[in-house]
Amino acid sequence: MLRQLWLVFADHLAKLRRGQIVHSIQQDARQGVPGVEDMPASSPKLIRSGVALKSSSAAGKSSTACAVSWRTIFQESMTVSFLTIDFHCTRRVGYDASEGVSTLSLYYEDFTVGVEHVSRGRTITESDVVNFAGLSAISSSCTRTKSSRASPLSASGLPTGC
Amino acid sequence: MVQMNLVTDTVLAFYGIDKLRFVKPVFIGIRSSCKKVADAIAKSSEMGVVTFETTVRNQNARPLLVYRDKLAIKKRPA
Repeated sequence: MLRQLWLVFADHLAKLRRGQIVHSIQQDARQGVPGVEDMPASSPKLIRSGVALKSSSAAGKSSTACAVSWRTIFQESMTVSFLTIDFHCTRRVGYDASEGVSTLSLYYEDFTVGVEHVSRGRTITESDVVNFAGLSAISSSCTRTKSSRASPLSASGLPTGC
Repeated sequence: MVQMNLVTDTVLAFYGIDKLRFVKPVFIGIRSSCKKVADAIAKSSEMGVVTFETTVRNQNARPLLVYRDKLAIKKRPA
């Protein structure tokens, strides 16, 4: 299990290095970056491990174009501890000057089975519902564009009667 | 996918969607996010077709929409 884990981790590390990787969470820990946890000193039992690739598209908001989080859950007797390792790209992978945003364009070699890519959050607006209804040819009776949660509909998940 | 900026400059084609399900209604004002997990990768000489297991979730991490989509993505230039 640990060998497989290490192989996956080494594979990601190699890819990240090609994508201008830079410093690990250990460095952050030494520099006192908040939220960074060190690995437990003892030899814990591995429960679950995974990698998440987090992308940040707004160049102005962050100096990093991408961040990869490696989360490993260990169990030490009755205590469950989490290890999170973050890698940051210091150089922008791509940049669209016309839009003023950086782009993280991955080639297919950059994808590994099982890797999660999580977007930033987005608040659903009335126009989203209206646009979806228009695209999917749902009649207006099937959508209620009131912002109240009591309103039974929504752009998807058709109510009864539609 | 566009907001994630993962393959903005490298995608060649949108290959298709399978198993699309609207799991829960989407209300105005909810905070949603998208999670894509690479499920399979088929390689060829010039491109690769990556199959993603995509889940759109609400702020409580409950799935709203799930589907499997395939994208044809460029090979890294030599």
